Amino acid sequence: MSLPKNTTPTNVPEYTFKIGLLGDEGTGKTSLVNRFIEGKFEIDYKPTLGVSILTKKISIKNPDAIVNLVIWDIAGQQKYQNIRPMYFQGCLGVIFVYDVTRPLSFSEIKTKWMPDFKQFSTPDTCYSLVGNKKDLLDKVKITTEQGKLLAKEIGVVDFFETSAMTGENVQTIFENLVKKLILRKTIPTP
Amino acid sequence: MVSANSPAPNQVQNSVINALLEAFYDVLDLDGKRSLLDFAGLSELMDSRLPPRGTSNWGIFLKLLNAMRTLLQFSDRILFEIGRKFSIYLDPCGSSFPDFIERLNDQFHELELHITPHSRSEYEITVSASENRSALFSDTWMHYFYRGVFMEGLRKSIGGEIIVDNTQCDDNSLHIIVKSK
Repeated sequence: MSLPKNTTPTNVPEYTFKIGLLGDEGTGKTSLVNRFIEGKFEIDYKPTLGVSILTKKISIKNPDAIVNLVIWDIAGQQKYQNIRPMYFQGCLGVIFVYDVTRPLSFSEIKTKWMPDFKQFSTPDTCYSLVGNKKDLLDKVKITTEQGKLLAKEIGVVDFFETSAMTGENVQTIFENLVKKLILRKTIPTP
Repeated sequence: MVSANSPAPNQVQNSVINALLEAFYDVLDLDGKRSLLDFAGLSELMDSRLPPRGTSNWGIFLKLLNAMRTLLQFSDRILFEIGRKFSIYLDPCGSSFPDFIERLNDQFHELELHITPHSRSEYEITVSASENRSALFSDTWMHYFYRGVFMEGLRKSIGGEIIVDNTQCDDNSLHIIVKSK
């Protein structure tokens, strides 16, 4: 769902999108959001309790637009299994995050996270797949090729390996997803 | 009509704010509550409850509504659930539905709630906001919050399964019908 097309004085359309980050606990969803929004990285791990919701306004080129992002960093722990569907609702963009050093977090994208979200999918929903922690070079267990294959299998619009620690590809993953959402020309609801 | 217990026009009873904070926590857990409070610029309320018998500036409540409206847009089930929980915490023992609406009227100075009974189990509520606050109160997404508040209010009053049958919105007001199934 989106609220497009308030038009700014310079005729640049303005949109608002709800974006959700989904994936097992400890995959670095919060770190990715913090890197994207605040440009910083904290080494301490504090599990998200429930959901953390942050906003960011960005300018996009090609297509030109102003976009207000409402980013839902959704807790990955099992104890939120029952309430999590309520958080999924209204996410027009979804970023599935796995940890390239943890094979289970990779396989659960297909067996758990995608099926869990699917009932909230609309024809306008766009998905991205992210293999995070690529800076942990000597611990990587999931290859780029495996990531690409999964991306193709589950039909995401983009796949990137990222590092929230160095910032590599973090901006790109959000911006590309937003561009895809704009191109789908979603209709405001309700 | 304003009861003797009504706070002054620029004040809101702390019990209202506390009820909303409890509802945030129940539905969104600690980090969700923190997100809303940070956005509202009210982080100091994260770990404390306001004295239940006191009052606070009405602006605090408006900031919380604005945070909900911004962060929870697109999330109608969550807004509905927060409304439902808010109703529970505000009036935990339940009361007759007209009394509950009257109590809300006492609390919300910039909002006028008008109740029309169609029967003992069906009511139409019209929510009218003052023009300068209409966006906060009659925003499309905030409908879902009111639906939760009124649905739970009627459920506490007459029991059983309650449905929100109809919602209509015009410029400065919102019409909601709640009734037993």
